[in-house]
Amino acid sequence: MKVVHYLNQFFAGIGGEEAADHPPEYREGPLGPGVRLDELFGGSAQVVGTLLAGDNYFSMNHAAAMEVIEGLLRASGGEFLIAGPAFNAGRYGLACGEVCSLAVDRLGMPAFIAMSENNPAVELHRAKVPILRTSESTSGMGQALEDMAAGTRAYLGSDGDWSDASPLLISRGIRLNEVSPSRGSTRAIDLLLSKIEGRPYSTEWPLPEYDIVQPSDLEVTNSQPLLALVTEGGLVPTGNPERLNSGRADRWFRYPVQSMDRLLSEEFDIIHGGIDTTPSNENPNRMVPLDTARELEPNGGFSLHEHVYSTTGNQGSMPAMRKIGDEIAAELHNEGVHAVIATST
Amino acid sequence: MALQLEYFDVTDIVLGDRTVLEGGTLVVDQDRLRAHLMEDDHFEDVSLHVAHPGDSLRVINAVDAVEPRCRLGNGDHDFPGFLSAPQTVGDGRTAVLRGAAVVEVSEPVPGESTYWREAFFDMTDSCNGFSPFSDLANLVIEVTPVKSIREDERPPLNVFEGTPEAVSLNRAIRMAGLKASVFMASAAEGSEPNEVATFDLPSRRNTDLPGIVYLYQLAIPYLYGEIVPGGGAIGGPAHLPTLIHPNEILDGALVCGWNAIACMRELTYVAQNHPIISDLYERSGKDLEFLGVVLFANGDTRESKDRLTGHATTLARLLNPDGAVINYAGGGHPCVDTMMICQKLEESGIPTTVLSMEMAPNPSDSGFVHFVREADAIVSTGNYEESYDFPEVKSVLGGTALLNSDSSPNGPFSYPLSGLLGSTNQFGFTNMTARSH
Repeated sequence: MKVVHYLNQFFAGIGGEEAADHPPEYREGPLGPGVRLDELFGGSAQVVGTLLAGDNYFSMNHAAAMEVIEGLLRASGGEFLIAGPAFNAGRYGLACGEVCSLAVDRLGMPAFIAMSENNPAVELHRAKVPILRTSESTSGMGQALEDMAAGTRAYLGSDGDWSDASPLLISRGIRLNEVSPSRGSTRAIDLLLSKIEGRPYSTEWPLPEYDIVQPSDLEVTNSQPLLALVTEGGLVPTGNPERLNSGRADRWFRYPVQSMDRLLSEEFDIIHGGIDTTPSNENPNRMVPLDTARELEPNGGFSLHEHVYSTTGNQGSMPAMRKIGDEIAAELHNEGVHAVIATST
Repeated sequence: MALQLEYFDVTDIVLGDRTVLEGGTLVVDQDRLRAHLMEDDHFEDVSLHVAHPGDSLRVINAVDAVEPRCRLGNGDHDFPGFLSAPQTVGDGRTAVLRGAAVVEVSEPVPGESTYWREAFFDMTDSCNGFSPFSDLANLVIEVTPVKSIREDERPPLNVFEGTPEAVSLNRAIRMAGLKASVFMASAAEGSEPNEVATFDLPSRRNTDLPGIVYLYQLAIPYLYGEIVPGGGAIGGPAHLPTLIHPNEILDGALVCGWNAIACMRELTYVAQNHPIISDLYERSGKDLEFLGVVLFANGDTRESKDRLTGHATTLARLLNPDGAVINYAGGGHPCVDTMMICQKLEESGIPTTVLSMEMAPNPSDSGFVHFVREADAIVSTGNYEESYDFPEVKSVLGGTALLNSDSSPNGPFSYPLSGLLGSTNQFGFTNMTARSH
């Protein structure tokens, strides 16, 4: 098996931070930690070359870097890509993730990254690329290389299946269907009897760990705070010209309301697909209380933001909702909004 | 209350001019059966087809599936509430054509919601292990409703019901499946069964074995001919939880009530062969003792959920169980009720397992509707949002188009498991599951 090893310029031995804008290049044979990795393969695989780039170059010239790397990888004749170990280095980890995703997606080349569980690149890339767990810092280099060699051997020995390497891998955080040897009812009874009789048992579907969002302190120091109305209720202009999804939303919109005293049913629809929308379509202010907010505004000690923000929460996937929430929150911050009333279905 | 099921194995169905069971081959008198089904004035036409394992054939627009059965002996009452008065079933003798199914197919009519109506399965081996009907000999009944229903211009009233005409038509289509079931199974009368099994709950408690109760969440089925309402879904308050003898479920008391998502549709065939009830019976006296079944439907307000789940928990506790199996019927509200019951039982010291399908459009999403921390032993019946590739097939029964896909129904196409009839069945009828990676 011909292995290509991806390193940043520092681990490849080409200068420190001052050389972090080094463009991608390919060199024959192993470099830096690749030398030891190649030894640890003990002949079962061979590091045929090293792909390297500066972390800064990578993040500053993303599209160009990807194109060059794809060309280098294709020309390398490699069959397998290993990136890192990147430990907890964020930019390095992100570069490893991008290069490995490219290898998997565009070249169909198997790949894995070695980095620590706390590397920010883990969340972005784990669904697609196997990630081998390392320590936080280079002090764990020796162990990391041994694990990387063991992981490669396990993959090769099981004919392209990662399951034998799984103790070394960080959970991919995904669930995939499979056909079990026994039917669900039988498994449920087996599981129950183990639980009753005090034998070890494990759920087939681990419960999720959600972030606990603490509502922030409502004390507002500004004498005339800016208040924004935000909803996940699927508020759209009549006819939904921008096609906000009625479920599983992947987008959000803002609508100007500066000149409005209330939301008129002729001008707005509620397209949320998980509730009976009849009452809120008769009066959209039931979903987004612009009418009451306007009534209170003159003497209420606040001013209303010029836009209302809308998405649909129905059947939302957690990553998509997190992204939408982050984007709306970032915009509210930029616009100097002090407080938000978020209405939910 | 002992039920004796007499199994007659069927491997082939042949359309012919008399109805007889010869070896494993069931010959069906197609003219007589067709005439019998055409007595219903909802239908302009009824046609009969057979679908066998290995055929390059796809069945689409399925409504329900039924195992051919008829009660034997005096005072027989098949599918009570439909084909007879709603008399109690679950004792006496019933003939079962094992290996066969009746599947009704019909294109949706305008007054009916198509939101959840897509329901198909293949007779090829592409869905081995998770398509309950792909390895059965199926009699497919294709129904064409009369013009007045077919060309009704009114839109559906809501996603659950549709117009009264559509509701009435759907009941008639299900009834056709039940009638065909009895018609076919009567061919076995007087023959020697391949196997006989007796089902009965223990009369006295054996305290050496853990006693297990099953809490059975319903998805709006017919029970003795009457719809069991879930809260809010089809109007009026939800049905109160009730104790029921498991034999009644196995013996035709419960019939599919509405066209829920195909992967979790509460099919009559699956109720007749209810996997949790069958497995509990199978193991009763060996490594557990089967205590009974509590049926429950979901509430639609916080208050009704408190009431209904409390009541279901109390009914279960009256049986003094050592453990409980709970299923989740699918959907939003029902999940909350299932989890509330799980929590209440665990809080009262009764260990539970929950069977649940997953619904994650993205594999990195958790797919949970709702959960409680006590639900630490869940059996996954698979993620119904995961898409599968269905191959090109030579022929299609049940219509000319898929409802939610522009692809030709002959395929090939990719479709989530949600459309595959019975695939992520909520009672664990199939071997489908999902695993974390």
